[in-house]
Amino acid sequence: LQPSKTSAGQATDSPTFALLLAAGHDAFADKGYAGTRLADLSASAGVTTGAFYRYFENKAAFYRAAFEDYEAHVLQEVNAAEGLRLRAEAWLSVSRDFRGVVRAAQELTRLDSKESSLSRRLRDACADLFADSLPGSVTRSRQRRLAGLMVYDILNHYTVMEAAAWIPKRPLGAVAEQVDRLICDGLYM
Amino acid sequence: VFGRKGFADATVLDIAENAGLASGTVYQYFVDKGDILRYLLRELVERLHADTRMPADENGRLIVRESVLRYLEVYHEYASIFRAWWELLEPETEFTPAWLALHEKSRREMLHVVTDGQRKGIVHEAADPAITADLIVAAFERPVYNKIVLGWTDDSGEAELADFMGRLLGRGVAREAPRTRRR
Repeated sequence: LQPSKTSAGQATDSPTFALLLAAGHDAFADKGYAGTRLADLSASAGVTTGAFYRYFENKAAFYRAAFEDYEAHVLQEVNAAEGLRLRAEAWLSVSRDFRGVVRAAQELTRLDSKESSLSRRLRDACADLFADSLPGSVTRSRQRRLAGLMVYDILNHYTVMEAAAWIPKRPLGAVAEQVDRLICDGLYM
Repeated sequence: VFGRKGFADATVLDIAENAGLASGTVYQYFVDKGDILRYLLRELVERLHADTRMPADENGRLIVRESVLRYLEVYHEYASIFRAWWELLEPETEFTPAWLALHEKSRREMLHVVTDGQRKGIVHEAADPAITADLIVAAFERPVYNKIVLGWTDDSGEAELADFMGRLLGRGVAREAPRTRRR
């Protein structure tokens, strides 16, 4: 397998690449995408701005790399978990760790924006994984699809609300249990 | 104009041209584009307070489907304002507190729906009221935002979303459908 390359042609398995991504998560979480300055980001990764540009053409290319890193982690963890509750918990847990990327995605996912297709791709893939984990009693594939998308939308919004401190930080196992319960059993008896 | 270009890219000149006015005329009424948005937001918040109350049936259960349809209607009417508003939520701006107040109100109302329902014995005992309330708020806000503001239709119409929400909050997707068919 060829090692992957960034848009600027640098290998993605170098320590500098990892340092920049980690610094990006913190910066996006604290300041959002627009508020993040590349000079500050590079400095907190302990590299020069020049080094940043050897890896990424610009901030947008950096965002794409950070999002794809998040996407790979989410898909891996959600895929490895079994059942709706554990899949929801895995999604919430990875997304809390990557809340900087989730926050930046909220900022950049606009009508017809280029970044919008990244968010949509992940939503589609995760919705399928959630749909697959629904109980067998949901027989209609259309219901499964809609339920999978609904699970994704609820979890995504929940993470945005939590990252923005609009709601308190709660144990994610408890949140996932309630997601499972609400989707499968509904609100009313 | 906010709907077409987004808030950041809209200019007072665009807004004036769209209204068939000189930008000087716009400035007689508003200080800047933020001032225009502030005015429209006040109008939207009043509309939301007046029109999106969720009615309950005779047993105290929320009538979800109709509420979702009405919410979608208001959202359509004010799609451009919602779009500009969401654009300005993160990172925080002067428009964030108004959103937070509205959001808090939805959370409180939904919490009341859950706890009141549990008292009446119609909501599952196992539902954690605070978490469930926040999940329902999310289930209202995000899919509608995706559909109308982002244009992600998921090949499904608005009636289908409303039906699905009704089912979701009603009995969930994994329990057998009630014997009596919906009209």
